[in-house]
Amino acid sequence: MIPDIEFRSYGRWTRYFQDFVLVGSAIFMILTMYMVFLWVPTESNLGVSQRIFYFHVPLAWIGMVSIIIVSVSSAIHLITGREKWDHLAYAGAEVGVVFFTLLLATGVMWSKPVWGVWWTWDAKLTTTLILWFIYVSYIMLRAYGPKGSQGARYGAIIALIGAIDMPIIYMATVWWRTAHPEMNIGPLAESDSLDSRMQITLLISLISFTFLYVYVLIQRFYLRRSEGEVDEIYYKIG
Amino acid sequence: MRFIIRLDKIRIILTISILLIASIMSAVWAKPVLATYENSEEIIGSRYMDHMKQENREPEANLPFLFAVYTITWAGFFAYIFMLSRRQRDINLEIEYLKSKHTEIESKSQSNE
Repeated sequence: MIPDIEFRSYGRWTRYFQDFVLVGSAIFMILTMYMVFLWVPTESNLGVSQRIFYFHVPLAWIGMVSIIIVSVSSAIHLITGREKWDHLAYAGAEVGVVFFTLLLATGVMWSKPVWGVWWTWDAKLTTTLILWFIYVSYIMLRAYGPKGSQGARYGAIIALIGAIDMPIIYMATVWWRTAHPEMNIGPLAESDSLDSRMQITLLISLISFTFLYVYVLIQRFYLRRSEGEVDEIYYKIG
Repeated sequence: MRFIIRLDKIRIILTISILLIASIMSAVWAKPVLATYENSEEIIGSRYMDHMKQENREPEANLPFLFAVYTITWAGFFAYIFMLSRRQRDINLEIEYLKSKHTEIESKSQSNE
């Protein structure tokens, strides 16, 4: 006996919002390209390679946002047991892993011309790599570990352990002497440490990547929900 | 259902097109960077990373790294969105299959009654 099949699709407003985010991302991405390559001045010490900054920092920013989303939704899932929070945590973790992988890859490509090495065991790099491993283990656990609510609970605990690493990564340049530069943005940054045109370019780049992230996150969230519903039906069928 | 699947396809195609356009634009617009670099008035210093030494300031020397970073980033997004679209297609097919199976069983049970 096959149980009643009821698949929830996107709500109309979600679709509108997703379209808005996609168009916004496209506009800001083109603007970012223009600013990065034609508008922003070249930094005197690092030369052309400094332009990697406008991709590298937004990837790190999105990675951090993703950790917050994953840890908060995992905590809510542990408290309430509602599946939608687990789906959001899973989607956030997967998209976060993609952004973190790109962050590490762009970091490696930047460190070679600037520091002369592909990789160094600097505090910020090492803690970021640890976080990447934690979230890859989260994805692997969800793929190969126990299914259903048990797997979701195990995943939530791993996500919360991973969240401990987030402030360590952020504060690494303050707590340890690292090869990474001092903070340029955020509450702990020194004032006027970055040229105004560079700040604007970075801001536009941050907005475009945030839009792209939101779009992909929504897409992944609904896909995950559909996967969960299909799995549930197969489970009921036996 | 078919309409929704078609809309999803359009969205995925649109996303990939945007990424493609952005990557082409980054390749096209990167060229004037060299010219900008050669114009000393355009170069301004900031305290950003000023404790680091750049051994090779030749723009040509670092340009491949810049290209590599942009290529890796766009390729990464392409790959992930392509993977998502494939998974979306598979799950839509699976849903279609389950629905048709459900209808088939329901009609069989009704005819038996």
